[in-house]
Amino acid sequence: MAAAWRGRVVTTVLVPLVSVVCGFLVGAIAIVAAGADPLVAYGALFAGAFTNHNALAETLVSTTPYLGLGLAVALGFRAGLFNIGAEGQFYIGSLAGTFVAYSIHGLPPVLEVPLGLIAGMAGGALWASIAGGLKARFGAHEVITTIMLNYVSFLVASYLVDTKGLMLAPDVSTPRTPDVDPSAVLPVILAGSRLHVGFILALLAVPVVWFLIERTTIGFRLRAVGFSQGAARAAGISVGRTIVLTMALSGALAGFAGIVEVLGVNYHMTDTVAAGYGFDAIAVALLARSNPWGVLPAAFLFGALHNGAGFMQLETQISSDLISIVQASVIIFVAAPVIVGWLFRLRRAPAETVHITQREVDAPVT
Amino acid sequence: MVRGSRLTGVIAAATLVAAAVLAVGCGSTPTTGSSCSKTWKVGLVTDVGKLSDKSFNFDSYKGVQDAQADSSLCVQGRAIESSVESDYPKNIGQFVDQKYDMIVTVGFKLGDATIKAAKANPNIKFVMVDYGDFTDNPTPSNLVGLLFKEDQPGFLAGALAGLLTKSNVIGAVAGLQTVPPVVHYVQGYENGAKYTNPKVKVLKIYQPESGAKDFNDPDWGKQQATTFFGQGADIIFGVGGNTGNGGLLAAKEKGKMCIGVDVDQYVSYPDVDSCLITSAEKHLDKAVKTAITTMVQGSFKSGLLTFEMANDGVGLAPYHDFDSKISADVKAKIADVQAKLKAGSITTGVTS
Repeated sequence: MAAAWRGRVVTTVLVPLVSVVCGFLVGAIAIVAAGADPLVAYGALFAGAFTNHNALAETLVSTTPYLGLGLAVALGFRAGLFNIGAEGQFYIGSLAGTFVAYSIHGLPPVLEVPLGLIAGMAGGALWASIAGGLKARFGAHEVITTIMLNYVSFLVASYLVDTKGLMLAPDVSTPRTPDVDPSAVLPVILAGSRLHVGFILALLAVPVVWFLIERTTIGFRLRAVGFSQGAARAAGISVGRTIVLTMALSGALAGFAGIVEVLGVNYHMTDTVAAGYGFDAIAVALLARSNPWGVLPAAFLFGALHNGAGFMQLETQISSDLISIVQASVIIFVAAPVIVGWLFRLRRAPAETVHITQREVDAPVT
Repeated sequence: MVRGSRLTGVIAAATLVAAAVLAVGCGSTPTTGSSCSKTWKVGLVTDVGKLSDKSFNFDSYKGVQDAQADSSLCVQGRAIESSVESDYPKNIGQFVDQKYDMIVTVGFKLGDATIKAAKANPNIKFVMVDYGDFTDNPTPSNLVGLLFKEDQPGFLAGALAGLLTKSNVIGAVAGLQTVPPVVHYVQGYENGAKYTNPKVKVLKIYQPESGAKDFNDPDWGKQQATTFFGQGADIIFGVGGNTGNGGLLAAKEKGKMCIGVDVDQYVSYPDVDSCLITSAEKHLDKAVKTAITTMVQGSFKSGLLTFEMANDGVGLAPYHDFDSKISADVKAKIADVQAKLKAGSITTGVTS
């Protein structure tokens, strides 16, 4: 029992932690290669992420989309679905939510904000269900379909938002949608910063998703399908329906992240609203080992890296792209725990074992 | 054994964190020449194209670096690259927080964020590269837009093409017709070619709306150029980012001549060096340096700074590999056209 517990600590806490440290070390090598001092660079990264004026608030602003998107990808992982389409669902969710949020007028914020959010989540959910449906009905692999749907969604966004697009704002010099209705804006919660209510909502999504996965029938089916589709089918679970539902939920979370970014930060939509958040989110979910609670620190790390990179570049003139090297290295180490184990001679982490509790066995399965 | 190694890992992590915390206190301090009573701090924020674009961002930042290298200006320049839309106000804010004197933003995508920041920070000068559309906003007194007369270098490039074509057919593969600078270049090119060679036929095509592939569809550009070659063209002017670059690449592969755009593409797109006779340039670096100079010398004016032949803000890039192949006679004629454009004794005939 104690050994099992220790094994869990190693896999869920120590491996990611060591991976992060190793990622920073690899990044340090790149910084030296770029001709700068890694300590100065990381010092500036730290200052830009935490200690500068408004830096912590900005880090939380950057953390917000990673929370929603990280949860989206993690939820898919738990059902054995590799949702690479979070970026596209983010775009479609943003488009749908933005359209509603600039079209409605005159309602109180208590109605307009939820309407915008629901439209965003519905957009993401519908978009992701396409991939889910194709998988459930035809066995089309979701990795392929979600990647392809990403391109479609980028093009749809460009088509609607760029020159002459249906959602293009009149009388603006930059290609974007009109601003959302003031009542649909997520209010700022820290005066003088951009930190908005969306961050709190994204935080609340963590326990909600955890509860959904771990404590509901839907979550049980979702995990059962993730463990073994054959066994799930034998137990009477409709695998197809579960796949479509999981993709829809995952897409809803991605769409939520998208519309929150619009209603909380940009107030309008352009075709560069995400630019890679959805792909970074795969890394966030991996780092979190698909655990909703793990998404919390992982998203915070990625938000801090994204936010600190600007000041690091200001101080040292190292390209902010260097942060991608740190992120990528972290993921390589996370994805290959053997490397970490070998580097630090950790005892090999025991293979994840499936514990089905009595309660879950008793859960009604249809 | 296992425990000990784990401890090592934790210690390593702790050391790194501690080092990072310590390093915060010792951020780099700007070095100033002794002759400078004040160092002017200039920050540049890129759009999502980043500094490595070898084009707008790269050349604009070169202007900042040139100003820094000019010891009479006492400028210290820094850049921050943006990766998403929400970075624009934040990265501008980084320079505002550090009390920079001037903030340069590159490209129209930063328009909203720049105007907003300019209104909120009247003591900081703001420069928007390649942005002149202030019609909907009264220009704040601390904001200047750098605007270029693209028809002039287009005209000059066309004049050269008109003189060098053997088939009397030349082509232009362009980005979207809805983007005014693209049209200015192409119309100038056509008029310039006809100025030096009345018999010339100019084939031109604008890319249809293609969403994310706007200005980014080299395959399409290559196809169109190849079609033009089939119709006898022997020179291609590529006007439109990667779409235009596709046209240049086709010229190189078919052994035809090509003309680049915006920056000296001999540098920014070395793959096509062997076909590149010149590039129709906007001197972004010069324009940015000029804007910085106006601040240092106290002659900063809000509104628009227009760059044209007359102030050397636009022009033709060197002939590079073709320098020895172009006759002195042709070079003299081009110099003559350039001088006349500069003096205003001829116009490009492009109005809109």
